[in-house]
Amino acid sequence: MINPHDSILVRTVVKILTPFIQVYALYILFHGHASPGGAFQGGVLLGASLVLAELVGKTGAHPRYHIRGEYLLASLGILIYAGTGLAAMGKSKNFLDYSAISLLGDELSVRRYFGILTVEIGVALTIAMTIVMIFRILAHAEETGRESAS
Amino acid sequence: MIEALNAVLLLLILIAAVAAVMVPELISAAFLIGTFSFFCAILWAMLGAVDVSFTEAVVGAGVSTIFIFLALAQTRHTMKKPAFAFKPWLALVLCTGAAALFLMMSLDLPSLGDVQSPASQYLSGYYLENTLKDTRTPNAVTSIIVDYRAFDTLIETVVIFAAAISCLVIMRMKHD
Repeated sequence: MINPHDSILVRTVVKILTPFIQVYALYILFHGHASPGGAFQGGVLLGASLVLAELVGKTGAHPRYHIRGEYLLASLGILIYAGTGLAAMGKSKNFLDYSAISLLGDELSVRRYFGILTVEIGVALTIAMTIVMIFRILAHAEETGRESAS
Repeated sequence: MIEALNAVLLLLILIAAVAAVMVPELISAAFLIGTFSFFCAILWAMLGAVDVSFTEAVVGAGVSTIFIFLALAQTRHTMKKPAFAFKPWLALVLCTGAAALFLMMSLDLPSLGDVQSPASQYLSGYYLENTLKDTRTPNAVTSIIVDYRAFDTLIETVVIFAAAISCLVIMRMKHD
């Protein structure tokens, strides 16, 4: 069980810092086309910021053990990725050939640009939620075991 | 200048790695592994692999240290004497032999940024020339990872998801 941190300094610093880390994670994710970074880096940073916020904790709030939402979101990330590939197959092109998807733009390179963006959002979602899931499972190990025993 | 900085970094990496193995208290060892990852991240950044550096800094130095702490909270913090008879001389010989083999093989590695190396001769040129035309993505790393080699990345994402699933399964099995 994770309790809120004792020191108000740590809690305040984390409370101020977390939104900035998350904005930076989104910047890395959406600017991955032009600068170093991308889905993996942005997703990992997003997951780390969520873990940090949960590790230090809010005062008086006891985080309950639940990972159902994270589990569904992580699955959704993979479904976005595979679904993009299947949509390309539906247009009788190769699996994951983004130039087949004509939702945004007619030029082939623009289609591939947005295909990359869609897929990266899926990857980042899966990775961020996976990190939060592993954190919750390890942090609430006793409850994980009790749940299966009952 | 760069060589001196590299030498200092490599020395720090070596010290952190040896200290992480030698220190008897496991919480200190976890911190030292985080330090090791942090120095590695700086080294990757200096080698030009900024993406790897990002990931190493966040995952290696940050998240995995937290995971190790949480795992330590389930067990004990200090090392136990191993039950089997420990043979330090055998380990020394084996490790020195392996290190000598690695050093011998590293002489054959191409130097940094070598145009004649096999890695930069065949496909890399095509990716670098065509990434802007094909995908409007100036960052060739991104277009290789999620466009040219999208299938690899799909399975990699599934592997990361599988890590969370196996973690859940193991923690549930532990109490049965």
